[in-house]
Amino acid sequence: MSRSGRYISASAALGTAAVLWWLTPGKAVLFQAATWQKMAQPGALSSVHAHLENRCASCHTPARGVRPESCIACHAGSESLLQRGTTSFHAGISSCTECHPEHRGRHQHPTRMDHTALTHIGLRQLRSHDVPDSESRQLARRLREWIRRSAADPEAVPHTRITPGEFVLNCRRCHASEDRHLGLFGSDCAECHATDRWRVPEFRHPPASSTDCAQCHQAPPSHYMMHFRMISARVAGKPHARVGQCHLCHRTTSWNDIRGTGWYKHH
Amino acid sequence: MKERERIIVTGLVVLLLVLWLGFVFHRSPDFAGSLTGGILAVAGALLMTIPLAYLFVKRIPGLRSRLKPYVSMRTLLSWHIYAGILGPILVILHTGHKFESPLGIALTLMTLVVVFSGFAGRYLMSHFSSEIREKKTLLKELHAVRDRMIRHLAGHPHQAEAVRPFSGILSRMAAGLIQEPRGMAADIDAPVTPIMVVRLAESIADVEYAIETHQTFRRWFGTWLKWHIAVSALLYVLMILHVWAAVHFGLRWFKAPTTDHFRSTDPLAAAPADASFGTEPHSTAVQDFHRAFGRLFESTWRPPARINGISTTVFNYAEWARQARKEQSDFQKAVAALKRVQPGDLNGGDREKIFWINVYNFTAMKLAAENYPVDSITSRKISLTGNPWSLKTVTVGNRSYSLRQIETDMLLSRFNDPRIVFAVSCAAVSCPDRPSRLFTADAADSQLDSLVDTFFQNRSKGLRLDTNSRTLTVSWILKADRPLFGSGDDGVLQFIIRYAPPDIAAWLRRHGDDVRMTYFEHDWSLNDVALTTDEASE
Repeated sequence: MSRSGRYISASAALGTAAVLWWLTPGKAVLFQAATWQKMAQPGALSSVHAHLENRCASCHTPARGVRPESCIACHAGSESLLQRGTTSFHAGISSCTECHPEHRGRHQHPTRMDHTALTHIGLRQLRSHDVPDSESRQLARRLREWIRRSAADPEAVPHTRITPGEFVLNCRRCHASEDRHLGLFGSDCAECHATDRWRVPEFRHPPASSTDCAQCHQAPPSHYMMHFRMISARVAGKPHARVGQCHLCHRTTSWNDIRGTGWYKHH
Repeated sequence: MKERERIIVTGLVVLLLVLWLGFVFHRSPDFAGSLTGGILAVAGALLMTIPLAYLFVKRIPGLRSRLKPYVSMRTLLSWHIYAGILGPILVILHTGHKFESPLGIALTLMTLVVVFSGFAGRYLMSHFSSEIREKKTLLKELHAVRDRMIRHLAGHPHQAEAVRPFSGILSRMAAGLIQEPRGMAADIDAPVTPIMVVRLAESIADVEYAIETHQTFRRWFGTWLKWHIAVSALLYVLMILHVWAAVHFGLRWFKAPTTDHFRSTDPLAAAPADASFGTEPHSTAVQDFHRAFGRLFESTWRPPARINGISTTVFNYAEWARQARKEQSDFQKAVAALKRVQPGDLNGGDREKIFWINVYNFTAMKLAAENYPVDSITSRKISLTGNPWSLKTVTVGNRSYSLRQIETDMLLSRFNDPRIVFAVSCAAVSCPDRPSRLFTADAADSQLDSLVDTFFQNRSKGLRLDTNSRTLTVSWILKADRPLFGSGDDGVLQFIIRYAPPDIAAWLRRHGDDVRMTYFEHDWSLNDVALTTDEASE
């Protein structure tokens, strides 16, 4: 192609592009920073944060990422979060993204409890203290040392159900209200429980023929009122049953499975 | 050498493909942003910039001649090839198979395209050339056979006649079905059957077609280098955008929180209750605290009285408790002022030392006031474990402190001054007597000296010497904080000699080596005016 031919085709291409650009509907979108920033978006936001989809700067501080202030700006006043025993630890945590990852898709809830992350946050906070040799820094150092050593030597770990990193946490700080054993089994939850589930896989319920139900189970308040004699005992056909004799009326399939009566739910 | 390189690189390209296709089976959304993922990314990106060296050296004439004595183009090309394949392998690993963002997807595709264009250019091109060479030789042989056949048919018209029906397209295609297949005639005089002619024609057509195809490919790839460079340029642009986006939106693994970070992100700072935080200069806040605490302190201070037989200055805690419940009281003003203080701005020195001492004393008294009536701050009413020192009870700036933190972290580890342990008071009877006014930064030294002097004059809790039994009984504080006074008993003794009344100091200097040191029982009872016994307060 001759030189002038090249110039002609180049300017024709440019002209076409200009005309196409001029004809593009909704051009304004192309001038918005968010349109281009979204090119780097690593997945959709969860539905609760979907309204922030076009406002990256609401959460991302340039060069510093998602800083807790951005989250706190909206969530600081959440009474249900900060004034409830199990979740009140949020007030002193100053670190969000470890357990609340985003951009995992519209239908993913942005919460993923990570106890090890909690340990790291705690250690980081202890270390963040001003004074080089302060008590909290020494504590952080000792804990880290212990975790490191225990990770290398599984024999030294007091529990097999949780990792050394999780072991340094105090379960009761958040889960005290969930203790169904009313403290009778002590405070060392990890003797039986793990961090990924409360259920104890090794637990086997005593056989259906067992009669000592009351050792673990507590009757509902209605059983200590007239309701028990007037309704419950009669419905079950055991007018002389005592409250502690669960096995006379109940079966192990469900509390509502009444012996000889079948499924029964009064309320 | 080249063969080995070719095998290795082909293996690596296959590996790259396999790794990339892994996304069908596996996806790890967290990996790319993790520390390991980040290290892979940085290493991969750095490796991917090495191929540029070859390009620059090759295209910039001055550079090429200057570098020639040090490194050959062949070496540079090897670097180009190996870095150009290892880098992409690392970055594909870095993705964790998470292909979500348009930028990320484009970047991955471009990486693959660049690798394949390079691979094709280097190895497939030469393959095409040798193929074409071979095919042309083959074609030449086939042409020779054809020429021989034509000559033969010219001599045998009846055989040529037999071939004629197969000159049309359809009949030629059907020839294979009609005619008996037989091998090509090796002997020139053997009869030429129609099938032989058809087969030969087909073979020639096939080879010609193959040559044509290869040549087309070669023409397409003839400009491969231009494509390779253009696509690479695009890849580098996308890579820069990707790195920019990663940095701009925050690198997760690059989290190095500073103290400021944690202080400023304390949720309490953002809580609506503390909306006034930072709106006022801190110096005013410190002064406000001292003014409010000072008024409350002076109005509730009472001269020494006896509690449990120990002489001590006392306070009217009932008034403290009343103010603690009342809005806009000096107590509440002091609490509010502390919240506005920024500890980082106190700049050390006596000013900061005195500020924290006063905060400690205020906090101890605050514990008593808020739980009043109470007989000691070690009461179970305040702390179930009898350990009020670990309760985070006071908020200074936007951060909560416990008594122990104030004493250890804010005072003792920053100011090498053993008098601090006397100046901070747990509002207990056995603690040193309080002067009637707050400590001030201007007269800090003399005030602290005088505090210890006065304490060592108190024979019921500070210091008592029995010269007969050569027993020196001193405050439990000297035992509890012994390391602060130097090593061993001698350090404590020197400290005592320095502040003790002159006669005792003189005696101790003479008999210091031969004295038994015991300690007063520390009485944690609240130095409350209400607890003083009647006969003693008279």
